Amino acid sequence: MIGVTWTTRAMRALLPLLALAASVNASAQTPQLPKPAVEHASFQVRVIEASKGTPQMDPKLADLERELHSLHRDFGRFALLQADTQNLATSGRGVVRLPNGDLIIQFLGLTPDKVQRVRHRVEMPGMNATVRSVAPGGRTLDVLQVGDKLVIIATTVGR
Amino acid sequence: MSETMTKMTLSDADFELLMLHADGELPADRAADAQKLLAESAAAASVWRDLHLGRDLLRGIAMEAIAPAQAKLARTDLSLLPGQVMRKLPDDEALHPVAAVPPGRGLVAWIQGLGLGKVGFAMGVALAAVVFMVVKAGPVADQPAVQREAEIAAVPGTNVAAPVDDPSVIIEEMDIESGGVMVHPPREEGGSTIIWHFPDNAAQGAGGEG
Repeated sequence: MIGVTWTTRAMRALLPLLALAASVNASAQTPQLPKPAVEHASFQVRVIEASKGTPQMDPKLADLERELHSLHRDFGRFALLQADTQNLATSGRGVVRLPNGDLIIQFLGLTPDKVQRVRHRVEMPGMNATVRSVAPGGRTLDVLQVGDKLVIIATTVGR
Repeated sequence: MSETMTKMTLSDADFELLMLHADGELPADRAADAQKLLAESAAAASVWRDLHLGRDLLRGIAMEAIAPAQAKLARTDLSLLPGQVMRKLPDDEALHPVAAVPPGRGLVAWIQGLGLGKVGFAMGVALAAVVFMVVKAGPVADQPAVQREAEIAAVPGTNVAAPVDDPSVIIEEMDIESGGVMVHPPREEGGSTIIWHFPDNAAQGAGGEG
C-alpha cells in the first residue's frame, strides 16, 4: 500500500492555492481576449539530398549553403527534392515523404512563456521521435544517411 | 449512505494515489485503481483537474526559467560528468549510475543505454547538454565516417563561433526506437540546430567508408 506522508497532506493543503494561481496566471496572460481554443503554426519543410562528388549547390538552397557545407566534408552536392509548407492546428499532423518512409510532424501547441515557442513532435521513420519547442523563425536540420547519400530535412517554424 | 460518502470525500491515501498517477509513477494495477477512483468520485475528478492546472503553471514557469540556463550549460565543460550521470530503469524505482563511455565505442551505444522511453522535460534538456558534451570528446577510430564527421563538426572551435546564448530550439523529449541521435546547437545567431539520426547498423555498415 502507498504510505501517506506529511508531504501528501502539505500538497493537499497547497493544491487549491496552486490551482487558483494557475487560473489567475492564465487570466493575466490574456486579460482582454479569451484564449483561442485552437492555435496554429506553420512548418516550412525542405527535403534536401546530399551526395558525394563535384560540389554543386541548388540555387534554391542559397540561404542554407554555409550550414550545409559544414555538415560533412565528403558531401558537397546538394539538391532540393521537395519543399512544402504545412499549416497545422493544435494536434494536427503533417506528413513529409522521405526516401525511407514518412516523417510526421504533429503540432502540440504554443508554450505559455513570453516567447511563445511552437511545441511539436517529429517522428523519424522507424527511428525515433523528438518533442521540440522552437521559437518562431527557428530552424532545425535533421540529417540521416540513406544508402550512400544524406537526406536533410530543413524545418523552419512559424506562426 | 456509505457509498455516497465515499464518492463525496477523498482520503489522503486516495489523494496520494492521484498524485502518483498524474506523475505517471504507478504500475498498471494501481493506475487502474486510480482510473476507477476518478470515474466514481467527483472529489477525485476535482483534485485531478487542480493537479493538472498546477502542473501546467509550474511547467510554464520552468520553461521560462530554464532557457538561459540551458544556453549556459551548453557552453560548460562537462567532460568529467559521464560516469556520474544517473538514469532510471523501466519498472525499477532505484537509480543507477551509468557506466562511463568506453573509449573507442561511443555515442550511439551510450545514448541507447540511457533507455529513453518516456523522459521528461528536464531529462531532455539534460540529454541535449550531455550529448553535446560527449561529442566534445572528439572522433573515435571505429565509428562510421558519417557519424565521425558529424561529431567533428560539433567540436567547438572547429567551426566559426561559439553556440548562441538564446537557443531558438529546445529538445524537450526523445523517444528512441532504434539507432541514436546527436544534437548540435547553432553556432551563430539565426543558425540552425542540427540533429543527426543514426540507424542501428551504422557502426557495422559504414565503418569502412571515407
